[in-house]
Amino acid sequence: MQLREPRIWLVHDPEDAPASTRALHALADLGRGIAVVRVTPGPQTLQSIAADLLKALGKDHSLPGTMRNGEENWRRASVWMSGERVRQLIVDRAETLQPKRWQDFIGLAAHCGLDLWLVAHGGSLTRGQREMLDDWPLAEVTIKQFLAMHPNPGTDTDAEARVKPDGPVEPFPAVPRSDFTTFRADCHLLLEPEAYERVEGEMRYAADLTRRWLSEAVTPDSAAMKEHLRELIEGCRFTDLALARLRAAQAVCLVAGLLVTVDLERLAASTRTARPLIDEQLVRELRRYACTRRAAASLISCLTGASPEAISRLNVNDVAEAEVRIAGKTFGVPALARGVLVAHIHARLQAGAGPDDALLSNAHRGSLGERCTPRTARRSIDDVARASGLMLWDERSTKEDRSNQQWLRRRGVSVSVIG
Amino acid sequence: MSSHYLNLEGARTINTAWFKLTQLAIAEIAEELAMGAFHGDAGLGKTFAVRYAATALARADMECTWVEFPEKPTMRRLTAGILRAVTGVEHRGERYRLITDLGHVLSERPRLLIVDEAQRLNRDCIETLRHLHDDPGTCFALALVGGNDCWDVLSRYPMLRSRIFARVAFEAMTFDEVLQVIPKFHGIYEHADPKLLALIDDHCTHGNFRNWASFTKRAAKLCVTQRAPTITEALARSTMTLQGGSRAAA
Repeated sequence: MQLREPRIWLVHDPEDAPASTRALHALADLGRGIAVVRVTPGPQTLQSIAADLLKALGKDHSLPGTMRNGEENWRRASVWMSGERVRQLIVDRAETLQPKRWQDFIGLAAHCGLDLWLVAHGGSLTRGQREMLDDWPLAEVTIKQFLAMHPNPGTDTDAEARVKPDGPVEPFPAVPRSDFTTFRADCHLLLEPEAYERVEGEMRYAADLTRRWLSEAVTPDSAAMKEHLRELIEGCRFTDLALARLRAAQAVCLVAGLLVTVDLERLAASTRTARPLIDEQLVRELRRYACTRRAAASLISCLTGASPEAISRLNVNDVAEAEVRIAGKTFGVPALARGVLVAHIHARLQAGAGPDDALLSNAHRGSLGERCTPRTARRSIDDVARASGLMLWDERSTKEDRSNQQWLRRRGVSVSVIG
Repeated sequence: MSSHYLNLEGARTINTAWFKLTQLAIAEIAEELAMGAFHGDAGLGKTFAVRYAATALARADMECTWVEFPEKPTMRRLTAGILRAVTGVEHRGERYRLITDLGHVLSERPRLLIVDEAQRLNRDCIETLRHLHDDPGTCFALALVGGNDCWDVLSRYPMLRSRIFARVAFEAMTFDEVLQVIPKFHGIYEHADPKLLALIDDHCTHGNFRNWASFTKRAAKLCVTQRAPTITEALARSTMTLQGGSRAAA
């Protein structure tokens, strides 16, 4: 126990005004280490408050690997809190919880070394709650004092992205395979208005970038144009997105005297087998899993391109917060994805795993468990891939060099000067 | 458009003060996605006024969902009932799961959720509605419509009372209001003697719209039978007798 005085705060909100509640909820920001638990009304079991806690951490209980067992979910929540470096836990509607549940939260705060804010709205506390609090170091503040101590960082774009951790990756609409001369018109004809709007937005983006590039280029030649096209489609997760951007660029380039051709089959195959970038979108998707094994296995797969067989052979000491060592190679873990790995390492250490024990196991309810079979590892990755719509691993995964000159050719894109 | 009580033919919608306030309040809570309470004795036109306002909102593309529970619902029944009303599909599962699912459904698009007979809700149900409404992800306005002790129930809970953005407390029409409103309500009263209207209100309808509608349904039939375009005292007394009005009135 590392609880120091005063790490538990009781926040009184006798007026129970909606503005205070809104301000309280707006503090939720996992990026700043603040989680706000909204207690669901009704009988409070460990299962229900564990589910509320996981929800506060951005976990989606409809995803594979979600358990109904309260203790297991509570344990998962604690490892995610350590992994995501949650430093402040705010429990809204704490007055509706039984003293036993307060005890659970206090125990969690002690275990994870965080500040616990129990926000009690309306009238006074029950005798049981009062008596329980007498046993712990506690400071009491009003909701006004609490909000003054927690200034809202505002609504900058980064903050908005941080407080919305549970948005699934939305697949790009399937677009027609028409030539660039009729592509936009066909999209307009065939797609739903919302889908068309999205496609047109991407086309406009690509056309604007290409026009700007052409106006800034001294002598637009095919080699320089290839660089531009590569930048345009390199981060695309979906073939259809890459195609929409390329079609727009083709139209703009033709006017400038550059003929860009696209081999659709090669473009589709290359997008399908390319390893996804480890970006905010991917990490957000992985963070939606309460199951740390699925999230960690998928992250390692994206990071290293290694097969599920190789990943299932990893031991705890092959992985650290900032790197993964696999088949004699070391891969650096981007800072934004480290929480996912740390949470899983915590889960394994909590289960009693040593450095030479399996990183991925079939452990349940905090037991050490057996090493995952390659099939289980593959299923963990496939579950995430299916739910997110992302291709996380494929038999034909390539580990191509990003500076490779043949990059565009592999994707079936060629450029020639026609005038 | 909302139908009148007993589908009364020839009845006109009257812009009473409460009716106008309700239209304003519903439009306001829908715009702010806030909570509103509409309460008063049975038969004062709460449901009619709220339905009328909801229809206007629906024409402006705001989805309106009306729910009513026949008896005191549990949290699970409340949640399942709203889910069914919103999605048109029966949802099964445990309470926690249903609340989570309802939270997702109520996040999809702005809508107005109207809970009629809200006095039947207990503390747990009210807490559930508050929980859903407070959820930063959801976007719905909540209109709580209720009879006699609706406001007593709602105001007992500070977590709900402090969240009521608009409140319309319906009251029975005063005698002066009856004289102003009823001649416009139906053709048989258009040229009726005010003293006769006073007699009917005093002995039978008591400023209550539902009573007036029920009285008018019978009176209009008698008027047709007697080929009288306007209600007469004799017809009124006959109707009152049929209505179960006092012997003195008859």
